[in-house]
Amino acid sequence: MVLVSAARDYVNRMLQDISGMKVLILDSHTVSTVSVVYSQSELLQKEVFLVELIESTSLSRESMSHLKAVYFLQPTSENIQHLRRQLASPRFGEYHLFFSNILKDTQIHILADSDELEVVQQVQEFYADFVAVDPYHFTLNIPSNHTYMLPAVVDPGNLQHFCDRVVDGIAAVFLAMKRRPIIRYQRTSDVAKRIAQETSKLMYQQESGLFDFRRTEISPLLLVLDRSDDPVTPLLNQWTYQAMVHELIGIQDNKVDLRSLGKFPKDQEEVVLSSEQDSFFKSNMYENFGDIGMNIKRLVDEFQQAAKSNQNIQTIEDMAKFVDNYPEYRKMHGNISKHVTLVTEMSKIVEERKLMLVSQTEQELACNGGQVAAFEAVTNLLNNENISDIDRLRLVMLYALRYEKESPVQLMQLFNKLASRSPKYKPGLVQFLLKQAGVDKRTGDLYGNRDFLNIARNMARGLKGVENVYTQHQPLLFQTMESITKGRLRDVDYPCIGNHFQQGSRPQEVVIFIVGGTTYEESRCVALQNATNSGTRFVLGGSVVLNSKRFLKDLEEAQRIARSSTSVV
Amino acid sequence: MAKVRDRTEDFKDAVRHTALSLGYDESKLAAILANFIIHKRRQRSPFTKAALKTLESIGTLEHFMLKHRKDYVDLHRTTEQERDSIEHECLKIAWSSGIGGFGWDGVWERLPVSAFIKACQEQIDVLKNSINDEEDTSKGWFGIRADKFNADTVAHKHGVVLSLSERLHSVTSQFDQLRAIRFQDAISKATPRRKFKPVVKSSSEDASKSNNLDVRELDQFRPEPLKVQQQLLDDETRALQVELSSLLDAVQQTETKMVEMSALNHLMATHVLQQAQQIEQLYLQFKCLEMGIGISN
Repeated sequence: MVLVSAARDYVNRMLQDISGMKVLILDSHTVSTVSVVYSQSELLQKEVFLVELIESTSLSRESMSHLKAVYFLQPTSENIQHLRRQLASPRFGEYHLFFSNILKDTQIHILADSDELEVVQQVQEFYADFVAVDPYHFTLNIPSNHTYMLPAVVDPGNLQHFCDRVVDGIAAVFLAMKRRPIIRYQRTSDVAKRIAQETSKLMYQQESGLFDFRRTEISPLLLVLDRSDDPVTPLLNQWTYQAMVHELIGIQDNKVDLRSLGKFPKDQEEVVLSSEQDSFFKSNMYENFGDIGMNIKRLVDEFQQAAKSNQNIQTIEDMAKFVDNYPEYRKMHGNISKHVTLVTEMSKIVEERKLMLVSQTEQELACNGGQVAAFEAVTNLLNNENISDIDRLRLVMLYALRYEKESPVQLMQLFNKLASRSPKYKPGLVQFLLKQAGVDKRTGDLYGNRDFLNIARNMARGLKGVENVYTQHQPLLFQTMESITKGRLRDVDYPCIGNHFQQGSRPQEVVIFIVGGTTYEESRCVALQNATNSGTRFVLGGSVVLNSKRFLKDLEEAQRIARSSTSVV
Repeated sequence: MAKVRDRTEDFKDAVRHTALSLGYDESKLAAILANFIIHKRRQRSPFTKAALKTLESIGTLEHFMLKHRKDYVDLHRTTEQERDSIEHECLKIAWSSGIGGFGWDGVWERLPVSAFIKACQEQIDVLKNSINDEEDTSKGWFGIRADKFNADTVAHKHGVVLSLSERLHSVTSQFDQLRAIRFQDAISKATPRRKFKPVVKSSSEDASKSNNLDVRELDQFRPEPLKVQQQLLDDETRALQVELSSLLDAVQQTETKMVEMSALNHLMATHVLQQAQQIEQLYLQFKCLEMGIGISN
């Protein structure tokens, strides 16, 4: 909640002190930041009558000197160049510049140099450099996400760029929360270590004045993890509402684009799924597919009741009441048709891809034991004609991650079968995954078979039986959060930067950043954990929000680059 | 409240540094830095200045009317003539350089109300015509000639002209209301009046005709002695005098009636305009309703 309200607060402050008609100019990143926390109608209330992207602002020549320009940009060199050109030939009456992160002195000099006509009224840093998609979940939307998988020698320039972006994003999050944390990272990951070190340098040395906040008794914690520690979660198919929509269709900045699925009426092509704006979504985003169906049916019944009462229009008063209630009625109608459409489309996809069948095996591979049974199940599904290529690939990957060391012959058989069945499969992808995220690379106890405590727990769970076989998987993050709440996060596995470490401390505020991306299943886990009021509040963030398609794409891209670089060497 | 950092001071320092490196002298430097503290006000365009002056003059007209309203309306306070003089009396704002030059001088004199209202109306028309001219010749911000008309500012200027004319209309309608009260008797007696007039006229005509006949008769049939003739001449002159005075009265009455008629005409015209506006409003409402029903379907 704190990130959403911080971002809203920033936008409010940008707009309220400037009187008169305004134009808001954003870049492709800040447009995501603003769109998830502020609606178009709220912008109009603040007298913002035009919103433009800085790239297109340079193209238009129309002069609007009666408008005051509010620029909200990331301080990148491209944006500074755009600004330079626009300040040299200004279109608007006044210019108010807000930047989403720390400006370099050279950038200020360039701007001052180009402001010949003295149109700039103020220059501020408003640290909203993250996309707050949910109350406890943020993302940085980094396009070149696959970079984290590559070793530094392959492309040091890009890796530096990636790390800088991550560090800036994390810094903005803490500046928005007004906290300076203790930083811990996953031992086995080089990129996590690098990011943790650079963040520490920024917060404690380079900009220590900026981060000098009121110290609390127990400092908050920043934990930098690597996606490779839990490659299972992004590969699994999901059955809770928000995660399922992202897995099967795709959510970007809380918006769902339905155009790829077929023909829809104009107002249903792109729909918004935001827990802030949609109360039905807020209460159902973490529910199972079956429960959602029932809840939607209940909603439709309620709506039909309301519609029926509207049909009885006898008197003038009834008509007046109908006209008064019409906008709300319309809104409810739009909302319900959105949810009904989504659930219908998802049911269609589930049916087409036989996901009930596939998912059962996936969950078995992720949660339970039995290598022989697993091998058989996977082989059967590989032989099944109706299963799509991506599902086959996922099954083999999940099997390989679990039974990496057991029976390599059978593993080889699966690889061959996969290669023969799926024409588009890039050979060696699964092996590449194992190299990235195999058992040697992982810190956490992904399958609960290292720690005696975990083994016992799993056995107990197996005996008890599960409520729902499709949602029995729990991401590794759950265990990590539990350890943090109990103050038992092992120093060996998650060392601390610097010497601030407080043994056995239970921090009250924790930000977990997963380099490589988070999933909606994990954000659900975090939200449910926060709801238990255990005394620790968790915020989750990542470089992107993953689904299986994105994860596989990053993997393929990384493999391609790794291959081409080795061939050059 | 989330953390922010104000870099405006750094920016000002950078500006100062750049200015020094470009060789600005002390005064220019001071001017640049002062600009940060007190923002330069946007120059008002000549259109805006003229529009504000027109608004001011309409305001004074309204003020004057309100002041004399009591005197005007109350039947026993003033005579007809005093009312006429109020109507004709007003404030004149003389402009030295003429209407088209946007230059107004404030000089207070006396001039008829109607002429004044006409002057205001003319001024508004000139403003309207000037919208197009100014867009053609205006140089936009910082001397950059705009490639096409800025639709927003044109619309704004049209809106200004519209609101000025509406204001003038409201003031004149107040004036019309006052006139209506004054001529209320006239309005109520309108129909009988018309019938009355020709009767009066014909009787006076008969009277004059009969006088002539009498005189001629007297002349023809009775060649009287001089004394009688003189008496007769005196009688004639007296009769002529009476006739002339009655004609004068009749003319005066017709004159006032003409004035009344013109005032009533004007009132009717405003009423008809009002009705036309109401009809248009109804039409617009129906249109909206139709659209609304269409959308909801």
